[in-house]
Amino acid sequence: MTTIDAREVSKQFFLRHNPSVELKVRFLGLFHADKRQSVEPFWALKNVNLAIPRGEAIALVGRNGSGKSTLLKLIAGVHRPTTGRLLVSRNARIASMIELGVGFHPELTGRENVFLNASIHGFTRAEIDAIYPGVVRYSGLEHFIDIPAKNYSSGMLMRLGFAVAANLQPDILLLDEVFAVGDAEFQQRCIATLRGFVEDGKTVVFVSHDAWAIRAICRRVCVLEHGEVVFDGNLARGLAFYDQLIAGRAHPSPVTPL
Amino acid sequence: MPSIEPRAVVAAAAPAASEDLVDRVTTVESVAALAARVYRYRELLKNIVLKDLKLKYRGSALGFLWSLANPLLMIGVYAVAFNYILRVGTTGYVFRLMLGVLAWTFFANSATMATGANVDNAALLKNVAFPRVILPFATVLFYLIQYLLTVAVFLPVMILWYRVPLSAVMALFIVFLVLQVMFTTGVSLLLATSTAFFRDTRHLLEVALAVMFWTTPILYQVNQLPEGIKLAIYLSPMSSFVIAYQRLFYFGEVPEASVWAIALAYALGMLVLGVRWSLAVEQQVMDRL
Repeated sequence: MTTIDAREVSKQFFLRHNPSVELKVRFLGLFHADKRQSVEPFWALKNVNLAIPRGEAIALVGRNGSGKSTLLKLIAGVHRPTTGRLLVSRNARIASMIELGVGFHPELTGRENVFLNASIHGFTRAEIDAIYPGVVRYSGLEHFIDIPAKNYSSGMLMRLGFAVAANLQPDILLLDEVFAVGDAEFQQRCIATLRGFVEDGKTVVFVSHDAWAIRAICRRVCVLEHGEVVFDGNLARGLAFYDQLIAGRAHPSPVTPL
Repeated sequence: MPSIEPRAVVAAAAPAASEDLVDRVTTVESVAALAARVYRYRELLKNIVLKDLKLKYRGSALGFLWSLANPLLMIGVYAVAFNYILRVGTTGYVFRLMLGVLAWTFFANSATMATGANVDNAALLKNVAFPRVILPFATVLFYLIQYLLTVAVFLPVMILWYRVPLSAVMALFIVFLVLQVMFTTGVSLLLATSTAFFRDTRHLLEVALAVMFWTTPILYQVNQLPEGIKLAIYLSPMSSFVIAYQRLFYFGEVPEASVWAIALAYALGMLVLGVRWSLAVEQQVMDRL
């Protein structure tokens, strides 16, 4: 059963070079072409078709700027496709952990941040109260929970962020390159949790450059290049295709099983 | 650069009919739909306001007393300048001054902070989908709470000091308060959106607030003015609210119909404009952050 369905999705952004309405800049632009403001249309995603069934973990891989995060943000509902449609199951609960520390306020304590962060995902007070002990236990930060987040290491921030996202009991979990800062023990815990998710019929969309983490979680790999899906298929072939791609040897004949 | 042909790999996979798929981002079509969304995120609204209140007073010994000190200082300075030095004040000058200054502070602070509601929260907005209007709403709510706290402290003091008899018309305060909140919310939505497109909004607002402050009868009374400019003063956006508060609490009388009409027009007009524009350009704002 498809739970995320991208149909002919394209997303256009406008790159604003030297963005400014300042008169000084406008004036300089008359004489220096490189200081002139210019707006360049840029297709971050081009005609992407991707159907993700329930209970699947899929890795999005690709170089920097290939459109992985844009696709994740379209699924998150932050941006809307310029053309095409991005569909998700009605009433699917979507949690995301896209950027480290976003949704946390440095001056607030860990405890206060859990409540803030969960409410950003639309949780009510009663729901947060119910998951709070589990979040703290999962994060392993019992001792630091009443300390302002500004004193947390990036690994601790990641722990708390992942603990919240995992305990929101999402139907769809969106993750963007979050494991890099966790210690080995916590990474193992995250992976076990994600596997459990998939077994429970939840869906994980995982953006990563880390082949080890991808192997541990996903069975399907989707490779993006210049905003286009250039490979979509099984794990081993996908990672091999991506290796060839970055080595400059890839040829446009990927196998396409599902 | 390897030459890679794009491939429509999953041939437009027809979704299983059993699953009920909907567009991830939909346009909010009605006020009711917007209200439903905001209501679902009420905990977020509460947490943002609580966060701002906590952070404002955390680590300061006097805490909330600072919120009283600021208007007290303003009222003190203006009272000395206009009542004792320029001697333009009349009986009850300080009371009317207080009513005006507090209502003005609520509006001006909300408007000023709202310019940053989108641009200062770009990281959050670009990572999680939640109703974007929550952020300007939170700004207004934050200053509304402080306004009500200062009113709760100053108003009884003034009423006792000036021996103003309590009257039933004072209950109409709640009506004008609701209208002022609607007006302030609308303006805040417009400013939060406008700043995303045009960063000069903040600087223009400073000028606009200065003009509005001096055209609102806070330091003077409308009846002290020459006939010719009275109408202009009445039509200044914050005037009807300030006049209403002074009528209700100091003069103990119901404001005339024109004051009601102007307040209602500004409240509804700005709220409708603010909500409609913010929703209409939501995606453009996201692309600009």
